Amino acid sequence: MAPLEPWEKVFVSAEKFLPTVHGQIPCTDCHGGKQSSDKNEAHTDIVARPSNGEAKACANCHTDISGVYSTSLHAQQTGYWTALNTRSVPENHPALEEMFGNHCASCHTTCGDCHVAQPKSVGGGLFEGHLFIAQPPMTRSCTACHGSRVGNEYLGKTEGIPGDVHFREGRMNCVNCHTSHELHGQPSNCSQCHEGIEDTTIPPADHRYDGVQSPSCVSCHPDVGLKSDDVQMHQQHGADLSCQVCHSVSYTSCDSCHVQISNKTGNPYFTTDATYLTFLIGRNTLKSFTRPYDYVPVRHIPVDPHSYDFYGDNLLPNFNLLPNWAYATPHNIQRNTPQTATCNACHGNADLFLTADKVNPEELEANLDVIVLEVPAVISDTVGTTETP
Amino acid sequence: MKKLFLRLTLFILALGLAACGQVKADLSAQSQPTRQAPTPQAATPTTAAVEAAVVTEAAPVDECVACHTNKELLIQVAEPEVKTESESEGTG
Repeated sequence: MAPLEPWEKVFVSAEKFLPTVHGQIPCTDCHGGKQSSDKNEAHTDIVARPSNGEAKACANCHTDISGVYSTSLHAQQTGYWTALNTRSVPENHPALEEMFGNHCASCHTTCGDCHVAQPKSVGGGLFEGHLFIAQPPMTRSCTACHGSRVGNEYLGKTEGIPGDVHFREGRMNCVNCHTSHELHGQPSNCSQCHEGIEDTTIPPADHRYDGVQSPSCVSCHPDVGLKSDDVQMHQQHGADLSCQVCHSVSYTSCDSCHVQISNKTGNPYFTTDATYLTFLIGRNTLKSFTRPYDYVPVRHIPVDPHSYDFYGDNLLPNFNLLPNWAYATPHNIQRNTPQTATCNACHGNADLFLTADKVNPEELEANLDVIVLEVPAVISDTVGTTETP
Repeated sequence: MKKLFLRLTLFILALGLAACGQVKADLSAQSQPTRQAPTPQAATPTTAAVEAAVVTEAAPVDECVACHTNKELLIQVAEPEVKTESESEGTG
């Protein structure tokens, strides 16, 4: 949507907002400032984003969610630090923390960034005259940040690639699959929300694929998980391929992101060497009980050993400890894809697999666990198409 | 005697009506919203309005609400945004 006008960003609807529960709370309780008809005086010590920082304004009432959310990936961006810590060494952390503060921390997400206002990346501004929206609006909130890959894939904005079937056919939005438990962070203790015997302590996720697979396709497609449908490929590959191996199509990969501070403006900026569409199957480096797959789609993520050279030399000396062809869950699911056509659409088709010849020689060591050493052999007795009616 | 009875009846009736009127005034005072955006145009004071103002206490104006619900005022006072050209290249 078009960016809001400056006045629209701070407009409060008397009709919509004031009758709501949040509209009954005096403005100054959350925003500080002073009661004055003079703008400057009224805005003295104003808190424009009350949920920033420790989110005390929200925590006063929403104690259950606030307690959990503070350790969530959205709040902490822990996934970045999991990767940075693995690839670097402790003595490099001060430089990396400076880099992170300049280039990455703006993606830190507060309660208000999803429920009250648009993210800064799309210009900010209150939703609907300051209405608090329980389910964040997809394009004004979720894909405003998760836009260049997930948003474009899901909504079909990548030229020549149809949008995700769940959007095209089902008009599903992000929160239909990504539950509030997931988005707010796994509760550190189930009994915080659920009374009963579920009192096992679960540590907060340290990256997006940590813990149980959530969302999971089989939650809505249980017959596939139970192999009780009549699709032969589901019988054959139920647990050794992630669903996206067969049901996603080309998605975006990027090369070599470098960050620095502008000499002209003093603002942080980045450059990436290339952005391109790929569909490549690699080996699963994140095997777990709920992600038992041998093969998954892999996306080239743009980190390279020199991404942060602006902040110091060799800040990622352990770069090879993590692959930069990474486990991916493309958001462009199709019922029928080139892979679902026949067995030999994949078997014997080296073009679909991340083989060593497709990896930058400088990145070979980092990706040894992902690279497919031997492409699955051609199946001589082809069983034909698996397209369902 | 009849006149006295009639006068007494009328007096009681008048007392009852006066009491009902007071209850109504009290209820209207209680239902006065405290966080209403003020109406932009000042209404011509009428006798009834003046009387109501005497009976009910004026609700304090919430200055934040008064400004931020007033589109025209916000357009006047909103500071134009300085757009900085991004030097970033490629997909973020």
